[in-house]
Amino acid sequence: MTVYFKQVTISNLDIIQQKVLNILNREINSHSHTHVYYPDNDREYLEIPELVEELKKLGFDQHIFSTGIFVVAPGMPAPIHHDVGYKYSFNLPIQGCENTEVNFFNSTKPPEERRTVDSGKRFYYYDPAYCTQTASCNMSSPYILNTSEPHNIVNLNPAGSKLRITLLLRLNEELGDLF
Amino acid sequence: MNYINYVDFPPVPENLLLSPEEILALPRIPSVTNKDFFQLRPANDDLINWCWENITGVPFKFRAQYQIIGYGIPIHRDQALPNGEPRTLAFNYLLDCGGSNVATRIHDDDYTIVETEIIKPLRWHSIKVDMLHSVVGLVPGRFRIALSLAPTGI
Repeated sequence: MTVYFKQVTISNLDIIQQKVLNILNREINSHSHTHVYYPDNDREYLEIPELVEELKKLGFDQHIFSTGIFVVAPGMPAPIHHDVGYKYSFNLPIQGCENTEVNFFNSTKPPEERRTVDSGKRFYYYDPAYCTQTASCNMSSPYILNTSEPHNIVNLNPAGSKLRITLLLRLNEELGDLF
Repeated sequence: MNYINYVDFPPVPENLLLSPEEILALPRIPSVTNKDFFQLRPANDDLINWCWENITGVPFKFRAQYQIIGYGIPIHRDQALPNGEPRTLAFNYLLDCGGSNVATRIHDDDYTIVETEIIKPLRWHSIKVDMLHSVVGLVPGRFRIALSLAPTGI
C-alpha cells in the first residue's frame, strides 16, 4: 500500500513560523498569487536555531538540498502534479494553513512535463479528469510528504483570507524509505 | 530490546584491511545513491574470501565491501532486497568512526529516538535496518569508514 505522508511533531513551531515570516516579509514585497518561491539565500531559513534543532533530532540537518516557499491563494486548487528530483519533502505550515489540504491521487493518464511560470522549475502535470483522489492530509502541522506521487494543494478558505504559506524542505533522501 | 548489537564474529586480521586513506583512494562502486554522503568501495578478494570463510550466522548471502559515510546519514529505513523482501539487518565493522561522538540512532515510526549507540571500532555489530535509523555527530570533513556485509545473489 502506498503511504503518502507522515505527520511530524516538532517543538517551537510557533517561533519557527514567526522567524520564517520575518525573513519572508523582508525578502519579497507581496505575495498575491499561487506560486512557489525559491529564495536566493536559503541558508537564512536553514539557520533558524529552533529549526536547526528540530532538523538535528531527525538527522535531516545536513540533508536538505533545496528550500522553497509555497504560497497558495484561497480558492482555485493548485494543479495536480508530482515533483522531480527527490521523493520526500518536509513541509512546515507557516501561515494560513488551517482549512487547507494536500490531496494525493492515482491517475490513469501519464503526466505532461511542464515548467513553473515563476521559476521555470520542471514538474509533471496531471489532468484532473483522469485522477482519483486516494488520500488527503491537512497542513496545520508539519508533514513529510511523498511528493513523487501525484498531489495538489487546496486552500478552502474564502477569498480575502490570508495566503497559505508553507516552508518546503526537500530531503536528500535516497537510502531508503521514511515511512 | 536492543536494535544495535555487537555480534560474536571474529575480528578481521589487520593485514587484510586497507588504511582509511587507501580505502578512500579506491574507485567508487554503485550504491543506492550517487551523492557523496554514502559511498561504497570494493574489498579485495583476500578480504572477501576471509569473510566468507570465517563469518557464519549472517542470515543472507553477502559480499564484503567498504562503506564510507560523510557528514551523517539521515533518518531512513533501508530499501528492500532485490527479491522484494525487507532488509532486516546490516552487519558492519567500523574502521574509522568519523569522530569520538558519532551516534547511530534507532527511531520508532513517529521518528522518536528509541536507541542511541556510539558503536566501538573493530567490533562486528548488527543494526536492525528495517527500523528507521540515522547516524549523526561526524566531525566535519571526516569520514566514517566500515567494512560492511552487503546482501547479494538473492
